[in-house]
Amino acid sequence: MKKVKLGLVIFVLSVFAALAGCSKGSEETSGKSGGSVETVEIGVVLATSGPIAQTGTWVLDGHKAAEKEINDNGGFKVGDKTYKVKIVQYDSEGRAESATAATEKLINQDKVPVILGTSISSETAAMIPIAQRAKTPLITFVAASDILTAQGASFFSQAAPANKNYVEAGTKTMKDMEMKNIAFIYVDDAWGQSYGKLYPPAMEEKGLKIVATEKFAPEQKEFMTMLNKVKAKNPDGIVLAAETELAVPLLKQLHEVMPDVKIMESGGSIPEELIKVAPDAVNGLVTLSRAGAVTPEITKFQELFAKSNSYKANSFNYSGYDGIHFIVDAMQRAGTVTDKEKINKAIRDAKYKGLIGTYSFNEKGENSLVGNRAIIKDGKVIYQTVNEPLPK
Amino acid sequence: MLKIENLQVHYDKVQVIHDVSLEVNEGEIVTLIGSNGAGKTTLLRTISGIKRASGGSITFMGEPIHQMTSHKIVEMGIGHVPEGRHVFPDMSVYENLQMGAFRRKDSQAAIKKDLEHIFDLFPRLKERSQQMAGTMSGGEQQMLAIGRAIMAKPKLFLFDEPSLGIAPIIVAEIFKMIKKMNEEGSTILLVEQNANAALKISDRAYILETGKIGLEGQSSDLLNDDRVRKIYLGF
Amino acid sequence: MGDQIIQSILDGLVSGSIYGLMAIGFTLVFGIMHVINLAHGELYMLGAFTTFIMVGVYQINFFVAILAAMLIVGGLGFLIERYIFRPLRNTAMLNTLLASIGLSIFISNLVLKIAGTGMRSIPTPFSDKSFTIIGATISTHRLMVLLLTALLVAVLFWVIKFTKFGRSLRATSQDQDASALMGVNINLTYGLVFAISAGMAAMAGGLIGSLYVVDPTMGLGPGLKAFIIVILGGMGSVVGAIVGAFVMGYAETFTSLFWAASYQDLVGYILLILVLLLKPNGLFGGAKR
Repeated sequence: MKKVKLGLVIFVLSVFAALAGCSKGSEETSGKSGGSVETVEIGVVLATSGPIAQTGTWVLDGHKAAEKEINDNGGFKVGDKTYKVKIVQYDSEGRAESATAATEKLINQDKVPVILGTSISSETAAMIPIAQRAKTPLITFVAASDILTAQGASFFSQAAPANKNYVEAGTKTMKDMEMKNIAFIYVDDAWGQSYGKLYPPAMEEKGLKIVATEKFAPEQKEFMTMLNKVKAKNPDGIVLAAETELAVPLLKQLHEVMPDVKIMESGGSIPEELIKVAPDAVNGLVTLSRAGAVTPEITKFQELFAKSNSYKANSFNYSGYDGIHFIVDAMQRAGTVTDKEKINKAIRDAKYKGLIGTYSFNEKGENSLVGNRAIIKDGKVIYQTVNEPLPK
Repeated sequence: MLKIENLQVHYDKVQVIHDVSLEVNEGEIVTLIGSNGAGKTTLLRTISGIKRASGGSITFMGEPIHQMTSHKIVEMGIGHVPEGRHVFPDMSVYENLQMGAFRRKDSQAAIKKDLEHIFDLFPRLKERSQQMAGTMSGGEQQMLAIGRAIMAKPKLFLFDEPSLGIAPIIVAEIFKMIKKMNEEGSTILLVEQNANAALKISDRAYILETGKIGLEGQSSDLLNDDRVRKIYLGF
Repeated sequence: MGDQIIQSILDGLVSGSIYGLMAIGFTLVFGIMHVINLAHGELYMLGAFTTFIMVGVYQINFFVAILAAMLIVGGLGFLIERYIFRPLRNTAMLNTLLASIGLSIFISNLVLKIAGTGMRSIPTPFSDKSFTIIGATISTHRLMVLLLTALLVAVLFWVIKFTKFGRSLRATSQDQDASALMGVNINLTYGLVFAISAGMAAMAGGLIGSLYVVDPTMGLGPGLKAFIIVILGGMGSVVGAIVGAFVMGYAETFTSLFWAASYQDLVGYILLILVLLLKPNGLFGGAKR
C-alpha cells in the first residue's frame, strides 16, 4: 500500500513541477498599483509549447516589452482616466482545441475586451467563430493564411502581413534571384496550405516554372526522402514556406542534399535565428520579412527590448510590440476600455503606424502591409524592400 | 548449520509465519511437512532472502543472514530448488546450468568439470543440452533445477516440493538422488507434501501448521506417530 | 525512378537505425523490468543537451562528448531506477507508468525553465562531403549514424547472447525470483539495465540531435515513436524493436517517396493498427506470460 502511495506522490509532485514550468504571461504584472489607476486586461493566446512554440514565444516577448513600457510610463489615458495594461496569456500548444478552450476562457472567465492571437493560422481559424459569436474583437499579428479573412467575420481582423500580400514580394524575389526551375516545399498546416494555393498561379503568371511540389507535417524532423525526391528533379531554386522551428532541420538537411541550390523562404522564418542555429546551411538564403530596412523606431525598440531580454529583437518581437500599442491606440480612439463593439470599430478604422508598417483594414479585415525581404550574407542579415536590388 | 529463531513473516498485514524456530545440522536431511498454505514455501523464500522477515532471526554458519540480499545468501552457500522448478524457459539446458554457477569465482575449467558431473548424474540433460528448458517435461525440468542448484556448489540445499506435478516413477528417482547427495556430504532442508517419502529419507522432521511448528522429532518416530499418520500420511 | 528507389532504400536504412537506437533501450527496460518508461524521450533530449553543452560551449571533441553524455545520462538513469522505479517495483504497472509520465513532464519542464525555449544546434566535426553508393548518396554524418548504430547493436547482441552479464539479463527477464536464487543481484541488474537504456537514448540524442534541432521538447516525438515501434515489434523483444524500427523507417520513407512527406506519421499509425489487428502481441511478441 505504501508503495502505491509513493508512486502517486511522485506523480503529483511531477505535475506540480510541470505546472510551475508552464509560465503564464501574467505572473509578473503587479495588478493594481494606485487607487486611481485601473488595469485593463488584454487577452493573448499564443503557442508557447508544441512544434511551433518559438514563434509564439517571440510574439509574447514583444507583447511583454510593450506592456512593460506602457506601465513604466505610468499607463495610458482614455478620456481622463489612466489605465495600466495587463496581459492574460494562455498557451495554445499548437493545437486548435487548446486555442479554442483558451478563447472561451478569456471571454467567459477573464472577460477581456479584446484578444490577440495566435501565431498559427490553424489555431486562429478555430478561434474566429467563437470570438464572432461573443462579439469580442480578435486580432492576429502573426497568422497569415488567407483562410482567416475568408470566414468574413466582422470581429476578426488580420494585422499580419497576409500571404496574399507576400506572394507578390515572393515572386519578385524569385525573379531577382534568377530562379528558373523551382521546387516548392511547404508545411502542411493552414498557413503553408494557403501558400500551396496562392503561389502556383502567381508563379505561372510570372513565367516561373515549378518542377516539384512537396509538403511536410509540422512535427516532422526527417526530410531526407522528400529532399532526395526533389533533388531528382534538378531544381535551381527552392521556395520554402516553413516556420523557423521547422525550417532549421529542413535547411540543415537541404544543405546535406543540395548544398549549392538557391533558397527563398516565404516569411515564416526569422533570419537571425537561422544564422544562430544553422550558420553553415543558410548563407545566401533570402527570407520574406514583415520588417523592412531598419528605422529609428526599430532601433529604439531594439534598445528597449535588450534591457529585459537576452536575445536581439526580431521581426516577430516587432509584431508583438506593435500589437499591444495598436490595441491601446484603438481603445483611446474608441474612448472606452470595455465596450467591445466600439473597440472593434476603432480597430477596423485604424491607421496606426507601427514598427513593421502602417496598419489599416478593408471591410474584410484584411490589411495592406507589404512583404519586405531579408538576405543572409556572410553571417549578417540585410533588410530591404523588394524594389531594391539584391546585394551582390 | 542453519538456525531459525522466532521467525515472523508477513504478507502486507497478514502474518504467514508465526514464531517459527528450527535447526538444520551439518550432514542432515531435515524435512518440513505441512498442508497447503501452511507457510512452507514462504519459509524457504525467507531463508533465501527473496522475502523479508518481519521478526526473529536466521543464522547460517554462525552469521545472521535475515538482513542479507539474496545474492549474498547464495554466496554464503545456500542453494534453493524452488517450487514449480522455475527453470529459465527461453534459455537452453546448458545455459540454465551456467546460470547455476553465476556466483562462482573459481576457474572456467572447474565449472566445466562440474557441468560434466551434472551430465553424468542426469544423462537426460546431456542429450538435451541445447534444448530450450521451457519445452521439456516436468520431470526433466526438475532434474535441471536440481542440477542448476548443484552447479552453485552450496553447503545447504533447500528443496521445495520436488515431487509436485511429476510422474511417480521420476519422483522415486529424484528422492533417490536427494538421498545420494546427502550421502556425498550435502546438508538438505526438504519441504514436501509427500510426507511418506520425505520422512523415509530424512533424519529429522518438523511439521508446520498454519505458520507454526506443530510437532518435531526424529523422522522414524513421526512416521509412526498416530496424529501424523492420520493427517499427513493418509493411513 | 530506379535511382530514387535505391536512394530511398538507403534513406530508410538511416531512419530505421535512428529509430532502432531509441526503441532498443525502450524495449530493454520493458523486457527486463516490466516498466513502460515514457520518459525515454526526455533522456534522449538530455543526451542532446549534454552533448550540446560540451561541444557547443566547451568545444570538447564531438565523439568524446557523446561518450560522456552516454555516461552522464546513463548514471542519471541508474539513479532514476534507484529512487523512482525501485520503490514502485512489484506494484501495479500503472504506478511505474504514471511515475514515468510525471518524470517526463518534470525533466522537460526543468530543462525548459533552465534553458528556455530557444533552439540550439550541436556543431559537428563532419565535412559536407557525401558518399555515393550505387547511385544513392549519403552524407558523412548520416553514414556515421548508420555505422555507430550498427556497431552498438552488434555489441549489445554479443553482450546479451554470449556474456555472463547478458545471460543474467535474459534470466532476469524470464524469471526474476529464480535469477535471485542463482545469485543475480537484481537491484544492480535493474540499475544497469536502466543505465544502458538511458545511455543509448543519450547517444541517439547526441548523434541525431545534431542532425535536427536541440530544444527542451525535442524528446516528445522520438519517445512516442519508440513506444509505437516497440508495440509494433512486440513489447520487450530486442529483435522486435529492431525489425519494428526498420518497418517504421521504410513505411515512412516510401510514404514520402510515393505520396507526401506530411502523411508519414499517418501511415506509421495505420501500420501499427494493422499489425495489432493481425498480431495483437506485435511482430515478435510471443503469447507467453
